[in-house]
Amino acid sequence: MPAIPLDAKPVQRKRRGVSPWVAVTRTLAALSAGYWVAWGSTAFLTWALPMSRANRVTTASLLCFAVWTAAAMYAFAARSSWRAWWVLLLIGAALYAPALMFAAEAMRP
Amino acid sequence: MKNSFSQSMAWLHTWAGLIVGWLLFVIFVGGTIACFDAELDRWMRPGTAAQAPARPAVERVIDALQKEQGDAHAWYVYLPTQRFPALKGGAYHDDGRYEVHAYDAATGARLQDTAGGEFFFTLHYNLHAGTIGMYLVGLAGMMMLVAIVTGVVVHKRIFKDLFLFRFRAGGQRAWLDGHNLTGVLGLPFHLMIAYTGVAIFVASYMPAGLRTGYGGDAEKFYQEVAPSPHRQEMHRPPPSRAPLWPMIEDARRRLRADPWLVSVEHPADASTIVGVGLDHSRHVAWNWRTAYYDGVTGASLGESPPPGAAYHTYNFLGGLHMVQFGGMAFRWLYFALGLSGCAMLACGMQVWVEKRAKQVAAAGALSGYGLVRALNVGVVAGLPFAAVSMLWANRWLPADVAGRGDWEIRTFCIAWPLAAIWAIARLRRGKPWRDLFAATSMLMIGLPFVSMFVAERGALPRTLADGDWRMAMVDSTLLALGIGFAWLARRAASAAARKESETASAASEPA
Repeated sequence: MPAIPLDAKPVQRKRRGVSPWVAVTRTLAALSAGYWVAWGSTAFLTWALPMSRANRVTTASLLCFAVWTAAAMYAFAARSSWRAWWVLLLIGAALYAPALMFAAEAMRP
Repeated sequence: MKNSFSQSMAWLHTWAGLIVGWLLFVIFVGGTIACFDAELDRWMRPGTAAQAPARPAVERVIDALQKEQGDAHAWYVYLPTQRFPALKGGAYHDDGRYEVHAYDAATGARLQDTAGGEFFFTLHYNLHAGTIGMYLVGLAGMMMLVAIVTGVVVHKRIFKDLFLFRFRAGGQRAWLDGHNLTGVLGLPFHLMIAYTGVAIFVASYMPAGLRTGYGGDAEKFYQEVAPSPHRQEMHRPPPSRAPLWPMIEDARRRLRADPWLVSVEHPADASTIVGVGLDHSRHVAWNWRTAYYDGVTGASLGESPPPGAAYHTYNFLGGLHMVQFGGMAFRWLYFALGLSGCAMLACGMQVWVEKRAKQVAAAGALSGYGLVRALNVGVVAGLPFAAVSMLWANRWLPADVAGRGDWEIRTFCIAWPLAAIWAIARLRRGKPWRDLFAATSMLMIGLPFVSMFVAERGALPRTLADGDWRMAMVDSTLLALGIGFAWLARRAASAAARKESETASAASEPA
C-alpha cells in the first residue's frame, strides 16, 4: 500500500507568501542597502584598481550594477530581514571606508 | 528550510516583477518601436524625398537657426542619412530645452513637424518625465536585472522548458509557458539590454566614482575621457560665420567617413566652435570622433583623440544597447527580441493574476487584485492602442496646424487613459482584452489604407511603386502587427468565454 493514498486531497497549504511588512522591508533593503553596497564598491574600486583615474572611475562605475544585483538577491535570501539590513550596511561601510580614509590617494591621476 | 534559497528567489522574482512589470512594459514598447525611430520620423513626414543630394542645403538650416534660435547654447545640424534622407536642425538651450525641426535636404524648406520616432525613444528612456523619469527608468532597469537573474535561479529546467509550450492548456499553464519561452529565448538579449540600459546613465545613477575620483567634478572627468576644445566666451557676437560645407568636406577627409553631426557651440559668441562628427553605424561602440573648427575663421582646431580602454568599453555597451550598428538586420533582430520581451512581460503579469484566480474572483474588482487586473489590461492592451492612435493623429491632423507634434502627443495622452478607463469599466462583465486588441488591430490595419487618401505621397502604393522599401516596410509592419492583434483578440475572446462557462458550471454544480 502506498504511503500516501492516491485519492488523498493535497495537503492544505498554509497561507501563501509572507506578510506585506516583510516584503516591504526586504524590498527596501534590496534597493537602498543594495545601493549603499554598490556605492561602496564603486568608491572602493575607484581607489583600489591599478589603472589611470579615468579608467578606474569608469570601470568601477560600470561594475556597480552587478554588485547591486548581487546585494539585492542577498537581501531576499538572508535568514531574516534584520540580518539582510545589517550585513549589507556593514559591507557597504567596509568598502566605502578605505576610499574615504585615503581620499587623496583615490584621486591620484 | 529546504530549498529556501530558490524559494526566496522565486519570491523576489514575483514581487520585483509585479512592482515594475507595467513600467517595464512601457519602456519595452517604447524601445521596440524606437528601433525604427528614424524610419518612423520619415514615415510621419509623408512626401519626404527618398534621396538626398550630395550637397545638402546646410546653410539654410543655419539661417533658420540663426533667425529662430539665436540665443541657444548650441546648435546641431544632422546631415541626411540613408535612414533619414533629410536635414535636421536642433537648438539646445541653457535651461535644458531642446527644439528640433526637419528640413528638406535639397531646398532647405522646413518639413512638417511631428512627434515622430523621437517620441517613443524619449518614452523609452525617461517616460517624458525629465530627470525623475530617467531615474524611474533606471530603477525599473535595475529591477529587471534582478528579475532576470532570479528568474534564471528559480528556473531549474531552463533548457528543457525552452521546448515546452502547453499552448492549449489554457489559463495559468499557457501564460507561464509563454512567459518562460519568451523569457528563456530572449534571455541573453534581456540581460544585455538591461545592463547596458542602466549603464548608459551610470554617471547619474552612480556618482560614487566621480565623487571619489574627481571630487564630484564631472566636467573634469569628461575632459579627461573625451576631450574637446573649450574656449572662454568673449562676450561679443561673432563678426562673421565661416561657411559649414568646407568644414564638413575637410572632416570627411580627416575622419575618412561621411560626417553626420555638426555642432555649433556658443553660436552667439565670437568664441564659437564647430565640431563635425560621424554617426554610430560603423562600429558597435559609439563613435565620438570629431574634427573641430573655429566657427569664425573656419581654421582647423584638430581632432578628438580615440577614447581610453574603459571609456571605450562604456561606448561599446552604449552602442550595443542603441543598435546603430549592423544595419537593418540587427535593427530587425532587436525589434523581434523587443517584441518577445513585451510578450514576456505581459505573460508574466498575467501569470500573477491567474495563479491567484480564486482570490481574484473572491476579492472582487475593488481590491488589490482588481487593481492588478486593471493595470494589466490598461497598460498592456491600452498602450498599443494609444500608440497607433497617435499615428492616426499624424495622418488626420491638418497639415498647417500649429504645434502638430504636440497634438500627436496629446492624442496619445488622451487615447491611453480613455482606453484604460473603458477597459477597467468592462472588467467585471465584458471582454476588455478582446475589445482593445480588436480596436488596436482595426486601427493598425486601417492606417495604411487611410494613408492612401490623406497622405498619398507616403502611402503604400506609391512607396512600393517607387521602390522605397523602408517606407513600405513601415506600412507592412503595421499590417502584420494588425493581424497579430486580431489573433490576440480572438484568443482573448475564446479565453474569456471559457472562463465564463467554467464559472457558470461551477456555480450550477451542487456544493
